[in-house]
Amino acid sequence: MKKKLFNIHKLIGVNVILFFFLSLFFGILTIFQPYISFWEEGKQHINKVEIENINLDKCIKQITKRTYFDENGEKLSKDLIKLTLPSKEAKGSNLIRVNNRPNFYLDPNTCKKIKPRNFTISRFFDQIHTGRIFNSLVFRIIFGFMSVAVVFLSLSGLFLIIKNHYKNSKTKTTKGLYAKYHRLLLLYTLPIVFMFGLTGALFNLGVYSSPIITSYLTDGKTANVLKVDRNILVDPELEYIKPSKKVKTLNLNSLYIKAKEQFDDISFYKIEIYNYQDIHARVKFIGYEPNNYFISSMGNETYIVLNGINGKVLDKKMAKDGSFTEKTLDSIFYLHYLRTFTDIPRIVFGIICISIFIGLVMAMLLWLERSKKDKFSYKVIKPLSFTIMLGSLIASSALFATNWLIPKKYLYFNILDKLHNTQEFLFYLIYLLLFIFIFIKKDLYIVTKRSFFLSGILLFIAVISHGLASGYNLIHSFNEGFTEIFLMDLTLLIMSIILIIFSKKISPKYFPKS
Amino acid sequence: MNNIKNIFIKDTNNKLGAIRLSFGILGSLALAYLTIMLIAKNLNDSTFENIVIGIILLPCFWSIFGLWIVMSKTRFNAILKTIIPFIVLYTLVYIIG
Repeated sequence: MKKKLFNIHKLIGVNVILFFFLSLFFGILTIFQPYISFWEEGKQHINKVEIENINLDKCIKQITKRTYFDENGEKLSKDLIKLTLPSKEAKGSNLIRVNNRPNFYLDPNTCKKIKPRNFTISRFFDQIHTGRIFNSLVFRIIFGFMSVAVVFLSLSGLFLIIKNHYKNSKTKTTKGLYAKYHRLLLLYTLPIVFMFGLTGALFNLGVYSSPIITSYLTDGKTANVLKVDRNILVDPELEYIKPSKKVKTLNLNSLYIKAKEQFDDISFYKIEIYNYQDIHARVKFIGYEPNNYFISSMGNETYIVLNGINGKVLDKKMAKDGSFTEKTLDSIFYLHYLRTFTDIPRIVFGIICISIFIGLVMAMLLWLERSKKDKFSYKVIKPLSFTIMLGSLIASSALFATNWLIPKKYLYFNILDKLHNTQEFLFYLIYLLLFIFIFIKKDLYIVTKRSFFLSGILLFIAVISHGLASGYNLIHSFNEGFTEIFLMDLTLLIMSIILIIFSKKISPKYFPKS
Repeated sequence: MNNIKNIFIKDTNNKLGAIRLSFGILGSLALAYLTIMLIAKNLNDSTFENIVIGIILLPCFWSIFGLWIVMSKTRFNAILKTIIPFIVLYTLVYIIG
């Protein structure tokens, strides 16, 4: 009986572990998305701006003076404007983004239109984390099934621990070491792993697994869950009123201050303006409540709608006014999205995730130790697992290194009339090269040693090249007060030193013998 | 004869076997889906909220049913554990809906 439980844990586990590994590794990098996004882009090397000090009316002028066309060739209306304000926590960006215009960003200090890169590392990490590898749907669905399997694994692991009464005594063999730390690390972080599994399955499989239940609950009217009324995941737009009389809208900065006065504790990250310069003008401010943990992060938005002509409050919703389901969903999402997390909680959460990560590496090595060496699955999974584990490390450090190193005109290249991104290409190429290298070399100890050394060197190059290319080296950015960029550089430097030391000190006894 | 014996008699080795695995994965998915349909039908919130709650609970029920079926003593037990709840749940869903 116990053996059967153990076998199913092992079988499901080994099938999904590499996907989980990818998701977790890039997820940890995504926790630090704000810092990466400030670091990677020269345009975001600007001092922190208070939203009160941005001249919002001047910025809006930049939008209304340009004409844009949508896919059908129709003019985009100029009286509906959606802005994302610079918000480090919620959006991980320093710039004003215009949501209903394609790739339109504004500098908050000068209100000039700027063109950031199309490919950014922070967004790419997020893509890999959610399973959009090669932008394919197949991987998204595989990642969704992986999250279901993670739920299963945490349940069956818990049962195994309850039934078997493992002793956490000192271990002599490497196998025992791996088993002990896999068990302990993942037991203590079990609630978080379980929550990751549940929410991950909702994000990636939610739409694809809902047709039957939707059609059942709506009596066969529709099978698409997004078409059901009262969608609580997406806040509905205000209704559009046809412009009738031209009236000047109030100064947006004074409206912003007025909106802020209505709440004790608020941080706005979005402004939506309806019927701009019209008698029906309305301005909606959307935000979250930083001191209201667990119920104010992403689904349960706090907002206020002001009349654009006289500044009267038309509608107001606070986090505590949300329905029971909204609050429940929000508290589930709270620990996955980390929207409202400031610096130190983010770092603490990062450390927790790193301990899950170590537990996962232990699990992989444990499987390799326990498996019979002449089995087919062992022969396939051994090189594959090391490719994924070491490849993620090298490939992500290569992205950091090439970010400032590649000149602008070589960022894209053309093959078969299709524009490809050099960094993205390099990212996938590294996995392939490493796989070939492992096949030739066969000795995993030496491969690991060299990969650690290489990624250490790459991270060091990243710091140096950032200092030279952007003009903000460590000392300069510290003096100028760019704390995020300084910390990012410092962390990369420390990581590179740690990796190089690791590559020198690591002992061959921890590796499966070939 | 050997096949029938295989199904009914408690296996001595700890191999999982194709029957247990396929019923444990696919059968439990069907059971879990019917369960969330029942639960969502009996909630009082708006339709969208009911669906989202159901979908969130799906992985939980999937793994619980999966574990329950895979851990059965004989292969015949595993089949029974899938089919009987399936009939019960399906009838309930049919009657209520």
